Amino acid sequence: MAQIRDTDTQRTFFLRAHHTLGRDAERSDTVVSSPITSRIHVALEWDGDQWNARDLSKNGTWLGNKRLISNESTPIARGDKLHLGAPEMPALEVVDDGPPQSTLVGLNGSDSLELASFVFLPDQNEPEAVVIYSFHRRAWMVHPMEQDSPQHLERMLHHGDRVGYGGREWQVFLAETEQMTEISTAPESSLEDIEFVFHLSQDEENTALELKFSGHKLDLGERSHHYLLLHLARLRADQAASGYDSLTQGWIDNEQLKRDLGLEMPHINIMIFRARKQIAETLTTTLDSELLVERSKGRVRFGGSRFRIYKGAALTHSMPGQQAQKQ
Amino acid sequence: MTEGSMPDSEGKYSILRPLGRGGMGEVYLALDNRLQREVAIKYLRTDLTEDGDWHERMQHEALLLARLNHPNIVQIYDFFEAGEAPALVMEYVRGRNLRIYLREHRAELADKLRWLSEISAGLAASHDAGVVHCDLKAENVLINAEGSAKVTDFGIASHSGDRADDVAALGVLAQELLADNAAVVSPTVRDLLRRLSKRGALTAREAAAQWRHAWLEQTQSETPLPSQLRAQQRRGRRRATAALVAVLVVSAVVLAWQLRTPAKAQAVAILPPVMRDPGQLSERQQQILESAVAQSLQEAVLGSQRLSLVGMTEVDTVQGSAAEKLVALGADILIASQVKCSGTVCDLDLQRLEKPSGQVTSYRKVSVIADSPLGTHEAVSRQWTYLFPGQTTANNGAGALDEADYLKYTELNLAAQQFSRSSRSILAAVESLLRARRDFAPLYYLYAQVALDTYEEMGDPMYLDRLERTLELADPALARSLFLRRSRFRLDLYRGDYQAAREVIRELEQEGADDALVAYLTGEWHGAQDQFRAAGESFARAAALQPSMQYLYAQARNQYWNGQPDAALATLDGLLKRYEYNTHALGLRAVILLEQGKLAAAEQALRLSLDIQPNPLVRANLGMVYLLMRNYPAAREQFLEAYDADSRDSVVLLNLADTEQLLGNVERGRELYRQLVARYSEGDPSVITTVAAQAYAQLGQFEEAMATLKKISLAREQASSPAVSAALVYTLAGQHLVALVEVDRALEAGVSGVMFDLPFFDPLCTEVRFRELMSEHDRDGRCEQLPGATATAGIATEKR
Repeated sequence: MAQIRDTDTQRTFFLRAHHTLGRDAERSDTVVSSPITSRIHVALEWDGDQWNARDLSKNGTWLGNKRLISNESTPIARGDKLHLGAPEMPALEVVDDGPPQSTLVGLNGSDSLELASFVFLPDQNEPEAVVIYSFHRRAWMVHPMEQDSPQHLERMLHHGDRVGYGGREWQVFLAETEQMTEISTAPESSLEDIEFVFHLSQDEENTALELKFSGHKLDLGERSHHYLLLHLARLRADQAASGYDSLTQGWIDNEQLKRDLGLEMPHINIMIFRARKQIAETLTTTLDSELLVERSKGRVRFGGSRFRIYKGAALTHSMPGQQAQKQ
Repeated sequence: MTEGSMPDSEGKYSILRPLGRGGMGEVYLALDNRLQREVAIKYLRTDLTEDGDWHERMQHEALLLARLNHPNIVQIYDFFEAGEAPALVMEYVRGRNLRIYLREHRAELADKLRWLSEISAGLAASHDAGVVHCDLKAENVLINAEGSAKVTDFGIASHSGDRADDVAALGVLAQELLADNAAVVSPTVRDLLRRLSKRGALTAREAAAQWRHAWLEQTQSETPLPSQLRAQQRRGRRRATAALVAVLVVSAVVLAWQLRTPAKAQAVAILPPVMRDPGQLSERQQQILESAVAQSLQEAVLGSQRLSLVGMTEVDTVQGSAAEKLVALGADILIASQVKCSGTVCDLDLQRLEKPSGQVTSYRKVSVIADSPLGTHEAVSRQWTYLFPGQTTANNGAGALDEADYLKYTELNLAAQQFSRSSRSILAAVESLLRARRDFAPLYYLYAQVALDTYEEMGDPMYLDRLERTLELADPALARSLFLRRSRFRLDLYRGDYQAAREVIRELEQEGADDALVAYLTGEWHGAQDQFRAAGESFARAAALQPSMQYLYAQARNQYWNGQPDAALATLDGLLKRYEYNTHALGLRAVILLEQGKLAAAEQALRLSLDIQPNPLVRANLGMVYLLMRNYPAAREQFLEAYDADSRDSVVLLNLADTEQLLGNVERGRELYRQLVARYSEGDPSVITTVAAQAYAQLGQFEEAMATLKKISLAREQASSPAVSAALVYTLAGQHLVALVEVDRALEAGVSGVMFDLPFFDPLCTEVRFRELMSEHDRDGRCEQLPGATATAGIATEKR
């Protein structure tokens, strides 16, 4: 994770994929204020393989003792020292030249976390919120666990935002400065490509889940959050059999769900996010897992439309409808 | 990827280095081995090509795009299969995308509007060719080394969209781009943004025309340089008498009661505040803060009895150390200020620097809050007694204002300085503020400044009438302030009321006003009545007493009008040595050089002036230079822009018409001449007599042309420029002998032969006298080249 150290103040800062340094407090990513620094003095850019520096200033930028040619990219690497405005200015040293990485930077002693989908905050065990990348909004979102409809409280994370949960605090560091092309961020697979196969134990205590996906079988083992999915899937299959169409089948009120499972909403939400995380991480292609459990105005339903549920050896439910066969 | 030839491209291209990694794939700089030019090659992501449909579509669109050749689209040159994935060979654009550009630079509103017009033009061209972009955004717009926008990554998105989607995306992009300028965009732009957000309301082509219009509107400046001088024309003298009475170009300051400026007032220059640390202030907040500080200091100087203020135009462009500035400005004292902000609270350092070495004799520090210009004003005013102990300063009525009004006033001041709003809109806004705040003196000042400058440019007496009515609102004590009296003086000169103007000078003299000022005003008074020699003496005296920008310029201009171009150039050189970036001086210098036929030097001077401040008048003069250099396309370009900026300008229109003729667009030229003639016959005061005469002549209406020529007063027949126009009229009318008289007269008066080196004067080549004259002035090339020209004296060839 690329980092620069200001040898004068000893402060370090992470680099964004396109990172500007200069006097302009509002517009530079890192403020370097000295009279000989230009408003935007130098830009550091990641080109996919390495970092490059480009001088944009009036007075010049030096790499070691060599002056950079204005507006031309020059590669920089770990150990290199940049001097802004004059060669004798205190150096800005490249202490790490790895790729830029979006991060939740820990404040007040909290640990930093790499920004990735399904990062639970403050931690996995007692999550109060979860961070997920939303494909259709092309932005990072944070979903609190508390409410019935997390949609209402979810918020977009912007570079520089502060986030705090469970007594810990982080500052959002988004490495990307550009809006990514629709193609590069669109998920490669969709829910329709997956068949969910549930195996419920006779006493309904354990639920195992398998995914059938482009000719592969992916075993997800037994997890507590599988039961929630199964419960919702079952309901959907039942309603489908009763004649509900694909838009209306499977919806259940949050209140009803809480009663069915004997759980409060935050716990239910945690399970939903854990399920999404597990599935998204197990697949080798990207998936927009938001649709795994669909939500709408105080109710939810299972988003998959291809699944089979076995209780013991018996197939009890399936979609699309197939004859349940006793085996 | 390794450097060298890619085997798949069959040795056609050599990869040089990577350019970056976009969402679509990797881009490399390569060399086209056959054509030996740099190109960019984009290798598209292999995973995206699994969808066979998409692959074919891509190919199809690449073929369509390859046929497109538009300056605002990144050109596609070639398309080949690099193993699994397709590769696109494109124009190599030196520069980054718009998103990055904006992160690295402060873009002016005018640039943003220009980019939007360029992007929409590219979009329109692609729509015409049947291609939809589908993914228009800042990351897909490149800004090249010349600062122009080029759209890239066309038609490559996974979904197919329709044109309305592109236009909608354009609207979104525009909103983003203009978000920072939301406060100053014109109603035109706001309306355009609104329409773009309504799906299907506009086509790309319509949007392009609208953005172009908005851009030209933005670059138009109605508060112009006083030098409206042109090569072939001198403005109707009534207008251009240019009493440059206003010392302060914009900062409006006022005196609550009459100012007695003793002959030995100390000259104080307020240096522009320096922002050492903007803290969290936005660009706009910084500007307002700096403006409030500068205004307050200036107001304090003018409100004091024993201090006189050095003009802002001088102060803005002077360079060097404190000691050097003191000398260049002719000042006794400098007030320097620095601002350091943390969050929105700022520390303001004020320093008083004295002659001769610029040492600091007084230093004050005060805290101000960025969002409170009125508070800033008050804080600064309180420091005055420390900077100038024992001196009081007048109250200008600011006590009656509230924060909102003061901010409005500050913004109007800024708008006038930056030409970001039209004069009409500024005047209207000041009038409305005045209705509520009749006592706030600076408003009158700003109003007078803008109204007079606009009159000087437009020639519309409406501005004088409005000014007069507004001045009537002022309290008599206020009206007796120095600045408003000087405004009154200017008003009187423009109206031709020389007696009233003389009265003003006499009063000021009696009250003991500064001698240099009195001399200067006297010079203006003489100049208005074409008494150039007397004017010259007065200006020389003023400049000797106080070598300020304004007085020196007045002297140079007078010398020019007095037919002493070399003396004028010498004075201007002296002026430019002190004030290197004075656009007025650069403009006048260019005009003189042009008339002397030094075209290259004139072009350089005008380009320099345009770099400092784009201005349609300067642009028109540059067009004239190109015209004379025979670079008709370049001339046309400049005239078109000047015309777009101010379509009422008759001289530009004439020049444009002439250029169209010379380019062979005869019908277009005639249409423009017809417009001029129509406006003239309706009594439009902005159409100058000589312009009208030429237009009539070009249309073949010779009687009207000559009748119009006669309207030019006798006194001006001595001047050179009308002679050039007259020569043209007579030439077109076939009256060669009379034409020759005019040519002679013009050349005698010092006009360069280059003026007659135009195809319009070709008919005169049949006359021996003409050929002789051209030969004397080293301009015989044209006549020699004409078919049927004979070298034998006296033999007339076929009349054209």
